[in-house]
Amino acid sequence: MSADKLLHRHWGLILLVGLGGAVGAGVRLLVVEGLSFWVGAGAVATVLVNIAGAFGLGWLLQALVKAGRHAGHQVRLQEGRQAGLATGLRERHPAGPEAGFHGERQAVLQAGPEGTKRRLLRLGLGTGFFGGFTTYSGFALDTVTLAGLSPSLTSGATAGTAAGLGSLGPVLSVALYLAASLIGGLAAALLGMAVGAAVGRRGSGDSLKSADARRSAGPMESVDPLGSVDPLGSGDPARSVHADRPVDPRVAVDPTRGDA
Amino acid sequence: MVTAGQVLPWMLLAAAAGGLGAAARFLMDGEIRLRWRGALPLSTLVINVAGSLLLGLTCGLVGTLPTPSLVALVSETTTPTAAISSDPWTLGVALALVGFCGGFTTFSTAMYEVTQLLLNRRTWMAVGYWVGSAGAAVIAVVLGMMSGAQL
Repeated sequence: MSADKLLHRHWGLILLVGLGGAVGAGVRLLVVEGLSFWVGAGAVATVLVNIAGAFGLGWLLQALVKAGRHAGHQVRLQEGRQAGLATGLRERHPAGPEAGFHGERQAVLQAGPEGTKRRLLRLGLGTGFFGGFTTYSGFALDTVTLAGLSPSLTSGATAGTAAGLGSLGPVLSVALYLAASLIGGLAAALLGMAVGAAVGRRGSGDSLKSADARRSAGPMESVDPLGSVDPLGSGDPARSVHADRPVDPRVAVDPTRGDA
Repeated sequence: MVTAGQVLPWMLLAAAAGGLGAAARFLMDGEIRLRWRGALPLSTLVINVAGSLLLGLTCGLVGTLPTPSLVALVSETTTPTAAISSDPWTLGVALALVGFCGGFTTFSTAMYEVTQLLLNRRTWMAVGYWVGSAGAAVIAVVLGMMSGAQL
């Protein structure tokens, strides 16, 4: 079993995620408190926090993938020269849907020398801060509240207004809230990833303006946000395995076939 | 009128509980991933639904809706939530549980996982996960509330 799958049993990392989560939750409470005061609607505050957090996480993870891609490439290039061996990577962008979510996760093997730093950023900022900053249970509770349901039915009449969208009526409030959260959250995550990819490319300077950036099939890649497998050392295996000769990156490199 | 000194300790308590929730999520997610190899991001789904159930249960037990505003919660005003502010222990436990659920569950990761399913061309699974998570979490809150109110 890969050690990367057991990161969550590491006490230091658990503490890191906990600290990041506490800060994220604290910031959320402050933001919600402030927005509740100004907007007078707690549900609106939760939507904004969740959308902002989805954007931030998308940005972070995509930027980390960009950085890891470059570092991983450098590392394996060096190792490839030394050992002349494939490092056992799989193509990260299989053409078909048969290689799915977990298939891509398995593509990741080793973190480069900078892998530790990116791993700590991913766990502390991503899993911890943004994970604690955003809240799914709060989103679900707000939906129930807006629908007018309440644990003590005596205060049920005020439930809708308590969340601040009461003037719209329960059905419209719930529909609006769900649409804003789900569509807004997904759009924000995609937008954050696009920004993270763009900024990462620019921020990496000269080195990434090489074939690296041009040959990447798309701006977005998979990364495991919660942490069992370290996605950060990953690069384009086709390049690293056969770094000394041109390779079509779309062709899968399967180490079990004795390809290398 | 509520002063910052009255609210701050409760906020710190809820934030610390949120940190505990985030750590618990990290641990639980890793353990589920060791056992589940499917394409569906089951670990986040389980975590979000379980956290929503616990939050609903907390609301049902306390008997009121926790307003998002701690100022409103702590202040002795006419809000329906003012009832629990008279008992600091009830308020503390309720806030710790609400804070825990907030940090335990995560909206950002769920949305990110939807993008990954879409990018992996698992469109229907992405849509199902996207909408299904929300539906399951809402049902979990309602069931938790009903159970909590019965206890």
